[in-house]
Formats: sequence, structure tokens, C-alpha cells
Amino acid sequence: MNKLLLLLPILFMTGCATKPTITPVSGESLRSIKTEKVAVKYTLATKRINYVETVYRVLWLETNTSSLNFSGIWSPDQDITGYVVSRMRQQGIRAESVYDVVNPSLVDSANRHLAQAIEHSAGDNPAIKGSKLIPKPTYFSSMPIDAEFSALSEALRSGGIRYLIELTAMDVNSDAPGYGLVTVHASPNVRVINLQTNKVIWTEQLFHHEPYQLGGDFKKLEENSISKTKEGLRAGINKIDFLSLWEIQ
Amino acid sequence: MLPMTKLASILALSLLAACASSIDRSVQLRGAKLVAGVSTKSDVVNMIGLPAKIDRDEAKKLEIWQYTGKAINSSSFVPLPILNAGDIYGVTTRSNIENQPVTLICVFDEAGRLLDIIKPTQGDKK
Repeated sequence: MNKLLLLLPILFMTGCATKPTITPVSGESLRSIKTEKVAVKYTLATKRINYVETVYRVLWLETNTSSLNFSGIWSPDQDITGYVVSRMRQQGIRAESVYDVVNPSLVDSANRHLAQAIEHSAGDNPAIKGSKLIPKPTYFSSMPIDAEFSALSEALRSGGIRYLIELTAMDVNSDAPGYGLVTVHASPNVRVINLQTNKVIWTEQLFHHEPYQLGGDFKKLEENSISKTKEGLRAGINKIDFLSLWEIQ
Repeated sequence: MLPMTKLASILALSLLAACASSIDRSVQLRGAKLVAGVSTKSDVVNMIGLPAKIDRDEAKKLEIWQYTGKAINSSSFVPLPILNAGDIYGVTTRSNIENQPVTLICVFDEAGRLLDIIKPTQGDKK
């Protein structure tokens, strides 16, 4: 009985101590990412922002969900790619936006194809009707073989780029859980592609977020050409420690 | 025992403390002062917010924003274990998004200028 009592707390502690697993680098060091020029691309598949709010109704709590389209006022991919490039440069990585290395129409074409492909492979998001969840990291572990990506990777190789760091998120999300808090977050899959060997050498799903005190009002994220949403995405990305992620400190 | 008037005051204050939903845009949809030919996309977003759906007519170079002003899904939770919780622009007047009726349609030209405002549930143009 005493042994059983000892085992129980150990089992509970094991549950808490479980670390998220990071896909190991398959026989290839990521150290050269810090020394040679790498290209970066961030794609938002849907151009939508999903809201989940909890509203206090005195005797009960109400949860409302919504999904709105911002494609009419913002084309996010180039801007968010710029936020990631800026963060990586802060960390000493010689990052370049794909939009600065190749013709942007090649990037847009590859992004459109990627968005269609992952929307077909994604499962429904049970929390928000009509929205989808990004496919699991295993989906991103194989090299894309479509013509649009091939054209992009060929152009990047010609531009002297060996590694493409590709971040892909389904949509932007925002929660208002109460007390006036409003968070802006996204969960991109990140993969590092070696364009010389045509192999995905690292992939993992990340999460970046930024909390704001906006009185629980999502509309404040939308005003002034959704400036607060953009600010939240940039601030969240600025918290990602890419060097620790790839253990290349 | 609290007097009845005090109880009533406390109840009234509690109800006032209830929060409003920022997903529900019914008030903004009713009160938005949109002017065709003058208002821009930015004006519409600042007054009402983002649309639930955007359609594009590539041939006519038009962008059609559709609003429901309502949540896609709504559920209630009682945090105490004592109660049981209980055909214009291709968009018709019966259009809906995720089972919510479209209540406002804004049509923009290529330059982002508001061309037309339609309120399908009222069956008229404004």
C-alpha cells in the first residue's frame, strides 16, 4: 500500500514534467542557418480572424464565437514575413524575406497553392464552426512537390539560398476570456527546408501570442486597418526564440 | 435579513455589471452612417468592423462584403451546480453565413470606395 501511495504522486509529477517534443534534425546540423543567408516565408491560409469571447451575464457565462474576413483591407503574408525576418535578424540570423529574393508573384502563387492544399488536409475546428485546424506536423514533414513550390524553390536556389524557413498558419485567433483581456495569437507550423537536398530537415508547430487590455472589445483589433491585430502578431513573433528552438545558441 | 429595497438595488447593480458582447454588431449595423460614393473600406471597418464573408466579382472588379452581425455559435454556462443551463450581386435576401442571415452588404469598387449599401433583411436599399 505504501509503495502504491509513493507511486501515485510520482505519476502525477511525470504528467507535469512532460516536455513538448521537438522533431529531431535528421542527420543535418542547423548551425549553418546562423552563418549563411536563409529565406523566410509566412503564410496565413485563410485571411480570417476567429474570435472566442466569454461574456459575464450575472447568473451565467456566455461563450460566443465568430470568424471574420480581413482580406479586403490587409494582405498579410508579406507583412508577417517581414515581422519574422526582423525577429530573426535581432537574433543574428541572416534572414531575408522571400519577397526580396524572388519575384513576389512566384511567392503568391506558391502560397495560394499551399493554402488550398492544407485546407483540404485540415480537420474541422470544433470550437469555431466553419473554421479548420492546421494539419499535424507530420503533414509538413515531406517536401512539397507541386509545380508552384518547385518554381519558387528553383528561384530561391538561383538566388543563392540553401534554406527556406516556412511558417504556415491557418488563421489569426483572438480570445476575450474576461477581465477585459483580449489576446491575439496564431499557431503556425514551422519547417526548415534544405533546397539543395529537397528535404524538410526540421518541423514543429509553434504558438505566438500577445495579450492586450481592450475592455474585451474585439472591434478595437479591427479599427484603423486592423492595426492592433498587426501589432499583436508582430509582438507575439518577437517573443519567439528561434536560436533556442534550433539549439544553435 | 436585507430589506426588499436593498435587495432590489443589489440585483439592479448586478445586472448593470453584466458585460456586452463585442461579437454582436447589431447596434453598429443599425447606427452606421455609411454614404455611397463617399465612405471607404476603412470607414466601414471603423464603424461596423470586419465582414463575415467577402465575395469578389473579378469581371466587374467589385468586392462584396457581407455582414451578419451575429455570433456563429453561442452557448451558456451556469457556473453553479444549483441550476440547469438550460438577388443583388449574387447575394439573395435569404443569404446566410453559417446559418446566420446576412443583414448588411457593402459593395466596393477597385479603389476601395463604397458603391452600394444593401440591407437584405429589410428588403430594401438604403
